[in-house]
Amino acid sequence: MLALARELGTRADWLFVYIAEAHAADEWPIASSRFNGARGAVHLAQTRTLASRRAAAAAFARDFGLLSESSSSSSSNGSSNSSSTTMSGSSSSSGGAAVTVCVDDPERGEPFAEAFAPWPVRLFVLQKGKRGGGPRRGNGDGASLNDDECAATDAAATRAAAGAGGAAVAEPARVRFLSAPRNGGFIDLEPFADALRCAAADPL
Amino acid sequence: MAEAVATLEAQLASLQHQLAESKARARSSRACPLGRDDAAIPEATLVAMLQHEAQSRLNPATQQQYSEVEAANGDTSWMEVTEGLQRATVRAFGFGGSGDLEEAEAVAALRLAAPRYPEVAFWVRHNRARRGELTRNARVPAVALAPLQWAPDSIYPSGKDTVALEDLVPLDARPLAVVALSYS
Repeated sequence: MLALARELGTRADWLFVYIAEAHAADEWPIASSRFNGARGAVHLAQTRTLASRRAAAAAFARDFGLLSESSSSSSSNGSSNSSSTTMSGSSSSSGGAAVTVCVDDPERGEPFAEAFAPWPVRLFVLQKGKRGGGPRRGNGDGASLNDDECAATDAAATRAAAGAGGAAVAEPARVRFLSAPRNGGFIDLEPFADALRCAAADPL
Repeated sequence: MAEAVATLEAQLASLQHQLAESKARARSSRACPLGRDDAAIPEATLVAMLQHEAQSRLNPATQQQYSEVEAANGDTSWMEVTEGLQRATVRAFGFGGSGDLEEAEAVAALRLAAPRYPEVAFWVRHNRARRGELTRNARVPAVALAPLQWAPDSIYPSGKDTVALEDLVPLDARPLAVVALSYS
């Protein structure tokens, strides 16, 4: 993921949304330490308050280098508390990419989860367009488009915009890609990476 | 002519009835090979097996197995460990002794029983996975997110405790990659 962020640099922004724990110790523990290196197994209770979820998100962001730190604090297993974590802010950059970390507020009914059904992990590509003619990218089924196909898609959209008067009008943000809902197994990053590369290939 | 039509309609109705019955039988045989549908495994036994499975999943030795297999970062995951304990569970209740097929069928029946007893099967009770309503090319829903912590040089207004997701999508048509996850 971070390699993809470095590859794309400033051609894409990144948002990490910290949602409900997938395998909370008090719900469905699996003591997983996958990808967690020397920090060992993750033992986190479900986060049911904004403060506890922010603390878990801050620990995750720090441990996986998502944000720069203004002061260091150690975490051995993802556990933390809000007072022990001092991040420089919710936004930072990685390889030139803007990175923002937010949480889905459990005290507000987890609105992101309600709208996006992201649990336990899910990937999305969102994009605003300035062209008419509808969606710019993607073929609708998750398959990747190569550069020529991306260009053809954009050309068609540009022609459609020109036919509609040609004015570049800001469009609302749309979902260009969403990964399949996951229920076990490993997430397939390739369709996401392809969709993101495609969307970033020719920004306006 | 009217008689012929009536006869054909009666024949059609009969065929439709037979088809419905056939489909129902097919659904039943697929749903639970050894489970509730043909009562090969009594429901009470299935519940007892689920309780056994629940205890096994929480057993410290199992948790240690989970941890070790996940630490390896290989192709094998905690789910293979879980499959192993499910097989051990059905064997503990006397299934699977006569061959792999019986064991596999009993495991299938056990898995099919779990959604009926979420109060026992915590892996069902706490499974939040769903497809959702969102589709490709849909307008991004209006969602408020809570930032981790505002920085003095944040581009977002200070003092606000939420930010609109739409406002995080670049105005210049660059994409926003959204990764929704948790530590665990």
